[in-house]
Amino acid sequence: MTSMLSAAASGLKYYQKVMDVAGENLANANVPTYRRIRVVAEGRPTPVGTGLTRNGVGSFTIDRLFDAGKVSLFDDPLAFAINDDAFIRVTSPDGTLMLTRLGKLTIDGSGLLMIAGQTLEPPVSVPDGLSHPEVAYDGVVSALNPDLERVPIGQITMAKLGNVEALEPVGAGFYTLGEGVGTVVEGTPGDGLFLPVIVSGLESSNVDPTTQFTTMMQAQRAYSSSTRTFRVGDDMLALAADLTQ
Amino acid sequence: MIKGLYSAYSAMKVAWQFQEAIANNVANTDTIGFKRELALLGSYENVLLSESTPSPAPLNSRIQQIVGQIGTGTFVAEVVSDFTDGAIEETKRDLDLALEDGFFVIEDDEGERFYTRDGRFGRAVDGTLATSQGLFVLDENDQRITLPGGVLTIDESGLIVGADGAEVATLNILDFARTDLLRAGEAYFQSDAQGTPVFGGLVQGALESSNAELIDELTTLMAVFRTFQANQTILAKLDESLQTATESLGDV
Repeated sequence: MTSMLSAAASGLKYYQKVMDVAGENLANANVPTYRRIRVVAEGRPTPVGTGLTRNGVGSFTIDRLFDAGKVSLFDDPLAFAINDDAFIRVTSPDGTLMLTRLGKLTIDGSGLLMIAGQTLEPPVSVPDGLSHPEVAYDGVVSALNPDLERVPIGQITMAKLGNVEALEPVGAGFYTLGEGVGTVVEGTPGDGLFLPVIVSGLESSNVDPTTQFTTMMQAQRAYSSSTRTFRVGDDMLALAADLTQ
Repeated sequence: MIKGLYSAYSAMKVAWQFQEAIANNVANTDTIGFKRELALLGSYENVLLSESTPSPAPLNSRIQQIVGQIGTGTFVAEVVSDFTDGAIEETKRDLDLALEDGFFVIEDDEGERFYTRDGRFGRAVDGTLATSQGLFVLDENDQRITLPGGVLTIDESGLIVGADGAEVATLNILDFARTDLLRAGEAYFQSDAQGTPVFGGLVQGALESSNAELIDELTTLMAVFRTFQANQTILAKLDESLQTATESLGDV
């Protein structure tokens, strides 16, 4: 009897989610290497004979999409962009291995190279007396020694996964390896398995603001339609109740 | 008792059942692979009306003559699924699949089979091709498919090729006569029939949208609502008349 109302309510919940997702994508549209999310409405299979109910959207699935963003020039010798579907290996302060696409290195007070507070895996630091660290296309980090010669001081390592969607986001563009990532292949840029990185470049997010705005507008309309269905269902129930005045 | 009462009542009942299907359609205008429902209305048989007239002399009796018919209302004969294709929209995700003909074959943990156009698939924890709710997609030998890692290419006949070029499996895509499909969820169907294999029309990196159009469904929603409202008014007025008849006419 009230399946009309449940259907309308499920529509409201789903379109609210669509708006939330579009909003989150738009808020992060300018965050380098941010990977957009999407929400997909799906049905729920109920075997024949178990009583078909018409309760609206069966379930919704949120996917994170890992297609690459555009690479733009970024005049920083410690910034680089990944050219394939690989990730940079970093370690969090508590020792957990994490992966990220953000190739933007900074140097902390002790000369340790970091990406947004996480150290490279294996760690790379600029020894005393050396300066001007740079990243090369093969991931080798080098610095100038007192004789002004460029010497290597470390190597950036990369990883490729069997199933990128099994990565678990921990925020700010970092991911831990969830169950189901499949085989993890490790290597260095340009070693044959991994493409060389693009130096002095930064990968932008993969959000297309136009698509997100369109999605938001459509979701708004659909949300109003769901409220209309809700009101119609409610009015019909009220009319039925009024029969016995 | 009063035929009008039952006609109005049956119209209201039809409207109610119809609205349940429409409200569901409206909620599912964005559900992947959703097939909307249509109500087929039937009418109850017409009943013959007769009146009696005096028979010609010398018989002292009356003759029943049929003078016409009256309808006794409508009912929802059947709610059927409309299998018109939804629009295929590109998503650029390698495990989003859409079909132009036929259905994917999926099974749950207990081996219960379903057919669907909802092609948003992914990898289960052990690497098998599965839906977002954990049902497994079957290949042409009705086996679950274990996927290798990396980006996969799926051609239009359903052949899955791994990142290294090795063939993995071919998806089972079956088509059915529309009358053989029973609804088993918003985008899922079951059938007792075998289904004929389909060898083309799969699009990788795309999903099929719902075939319920918001405008059409909302229009029908409002039209059915007004029908319900109108019949409710008739019912209420008839009720009043009955009340008057029982209360006032009986006064002597």
